[in-house]
Amino acid sequence: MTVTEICQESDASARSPRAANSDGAMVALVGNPNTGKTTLFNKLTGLRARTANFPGITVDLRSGRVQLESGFAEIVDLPGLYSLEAVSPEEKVTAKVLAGGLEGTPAPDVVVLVLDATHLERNLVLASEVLDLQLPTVVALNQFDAARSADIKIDISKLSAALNSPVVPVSARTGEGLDTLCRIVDESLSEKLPILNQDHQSCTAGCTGCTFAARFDWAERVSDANVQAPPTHGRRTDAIDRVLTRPFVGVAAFLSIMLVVFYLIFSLASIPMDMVDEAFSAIGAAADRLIPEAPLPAGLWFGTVFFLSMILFTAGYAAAGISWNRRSGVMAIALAAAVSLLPVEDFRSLLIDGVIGGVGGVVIFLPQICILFFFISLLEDSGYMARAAFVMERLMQFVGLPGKAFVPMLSAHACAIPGIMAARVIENWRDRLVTILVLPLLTCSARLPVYTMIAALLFSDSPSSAAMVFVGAYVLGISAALFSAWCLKKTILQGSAVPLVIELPAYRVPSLRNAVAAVIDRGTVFVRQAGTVILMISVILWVLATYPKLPDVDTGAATSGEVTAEQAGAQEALAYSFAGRAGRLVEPIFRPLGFDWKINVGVLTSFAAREVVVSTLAIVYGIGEESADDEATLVETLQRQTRPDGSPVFTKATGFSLLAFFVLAMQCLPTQAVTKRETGSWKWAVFQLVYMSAMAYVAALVTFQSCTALGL
Amino acid sequence: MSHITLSHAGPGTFRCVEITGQGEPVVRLKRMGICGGRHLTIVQSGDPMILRVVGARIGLSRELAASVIVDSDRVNADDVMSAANAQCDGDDCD
Repeated sequence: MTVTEICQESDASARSPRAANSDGAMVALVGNPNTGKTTLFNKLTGLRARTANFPGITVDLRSGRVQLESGFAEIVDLPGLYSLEAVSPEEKVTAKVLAGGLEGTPAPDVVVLVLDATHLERNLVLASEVLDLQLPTVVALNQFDAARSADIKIDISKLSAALNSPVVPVSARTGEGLDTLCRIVDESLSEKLPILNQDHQSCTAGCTGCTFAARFDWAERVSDANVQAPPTHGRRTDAIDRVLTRPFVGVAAFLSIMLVVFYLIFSLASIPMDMVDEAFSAIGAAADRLIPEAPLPAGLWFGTVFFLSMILFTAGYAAAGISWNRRSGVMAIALAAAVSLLPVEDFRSLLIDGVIGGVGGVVIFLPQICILFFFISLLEDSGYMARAAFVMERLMQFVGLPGKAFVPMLSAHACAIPGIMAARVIENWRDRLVTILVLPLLTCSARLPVYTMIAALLFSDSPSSAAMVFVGAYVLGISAALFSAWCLKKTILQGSAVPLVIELPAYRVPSLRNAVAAVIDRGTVFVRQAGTVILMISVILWVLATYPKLPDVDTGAATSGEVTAEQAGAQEALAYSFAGRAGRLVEPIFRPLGFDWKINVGVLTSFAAREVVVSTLAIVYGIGEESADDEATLVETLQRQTRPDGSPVFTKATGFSLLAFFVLAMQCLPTQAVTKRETGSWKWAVFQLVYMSAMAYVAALVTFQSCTALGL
Repeated sequence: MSHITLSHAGPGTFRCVEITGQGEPVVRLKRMGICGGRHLTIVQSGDPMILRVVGARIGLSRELAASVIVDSDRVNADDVMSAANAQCDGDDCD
């Protein structure tokens, strides 16, 4: 019998948006890391759990609803911890929730204490602390099947007596015992079993002053009295670790594993990315056909567009978690009305270029992010991630970061966003913050189109030199990140990285279900956070690049050579717009970098997403947006450009300067949104933007001036 | 019996006497079982080193190992067996 038949999950319609507000009972899962707690949670809730928004904390708590016999209960997966003396932000949340100290969230009605049957003594330390809280507690003795096959014998009834709580042997992997667990939880909920005083804390004060020593002594006594384990033989984990944790072999093994993961990310992601690209082009084309050429009766047009805009706002607010109040409501209505009053052609451009293009530009990175999280989850589940942190520890300490920062930094080479989310594994807040702040300097895949353009611009005749441009850009990004981390550690975030203490759990076969759950969870967060911000920003940038419009003149007059009337019109319109004017306005600032006002327009419009610079340059140099895909035409056109004095714009100096700028500049608002989310304030997102922009400016300035001095 | 720091100890099993220092690093050590009265087995020396503590393998940097005070004499081998094997360490558990 499967657990879903017993603990029937309720249908989606019965859900409340917040676990904290649901009138169902709250059941909290608590346990050490590596006890299979999340596997148990995923098995109990199916794949329909969600990240709950608890007010006042930045830590994600996953929760899901489970139907018990006497009603539904909301299960919350509290972050794993070794002790209620919490160190990391996640652990502090667990301790706070259990103490009932989280604002708006009462203490859980029942605590399910997840203990690993194969490491019971170690797990009993947290158990003693949790039992001291005197909350109704049910002990789930997980990985019982593994303990059985290792010939570990545990006297359940004696253990239950020692812990003064019901103890249910379960296996989250096979589903064994989960029906009993659900029943006992239900009984504790409905009967409110009396809580008996424990005697294990007899030594918490006055003995030696070390409460941990007393708890470990108690754990040893309970374990010795109730657990019989055979002398272990054939130490598989030991044998694997003898290879994987060796100083040089270990690092080599780790880099090979990551190389394979990255190869898979880039090769597997290309297919869905092409599909996303085509899908959004198709949606754009369909929208183009749907919008009538001739204006409809004004009332009908206004009504339809207003209605559709309001639907979009409702969806956007729901996704971003914005509540409807007077201010947000007025803003939505005003903006929807403004959109409805647009001329048909402007509306067409807004919808296709602004909205559909903007959203498509973000969704295209979703496959990479999902695949990355899939592999990270598998590696974590298998127990390997702890070894990765272990072998990288010494190398990372040189720049003042912990070994655990290495996996986020590698992930950032696909996209900074999953890297920032993966930085949660770093327990110490300062170390985590430094890592988050430097991650966007690493070369992400959105920079590749820009590098491709610049490499072709600089060395169109020499593929090997063009390849060196890529190598140089990657090296510059990595060096800048490590250097910035070192600087931050010496200045505003002082302190050396917290030295390593990490459990190296037994290797095991990773769970596919956990990986899929992680992908759904992280993917949703990405679309919600990045998607809504990028939608807003791409609309704002559309406005800046479209208005004010050219006065009605005959655009055909500008036609010259192979530049068509339409392309020339787009070029002039952009030059006349706010963006074009801003490009001219900032010309004095960017002139020392070798940028002319047209490059400035590219820099400004790619503020939200750096890859946009390629299509902007295509428009601003008058070859039309479509030509941006045709690298040869674009590069040829760019190479032909001259300054007022007749010298070419794109000299080697300008090219290198532009490259240095795009390696180092922030130029990605979705990343900023995620930085804000993970650090809990806009302060750090703004800091990230400012220091990276300053660094990009200085680097481009030095590059251009020294290249010019060298006569390049 | 004299005391040494764990960073100076070779392979073998030692009884932990106390942890020097205070604050977060000490809590991080203690909650993992690197705490007065426990037996610590050095499985692999180096920086970071690998210990076996209360049935689990712990990676520990030398910097922190320097704050762990242990008895300089190794614990009797028979005691080690019973201490180290009190729990399955995961090899045949899966």
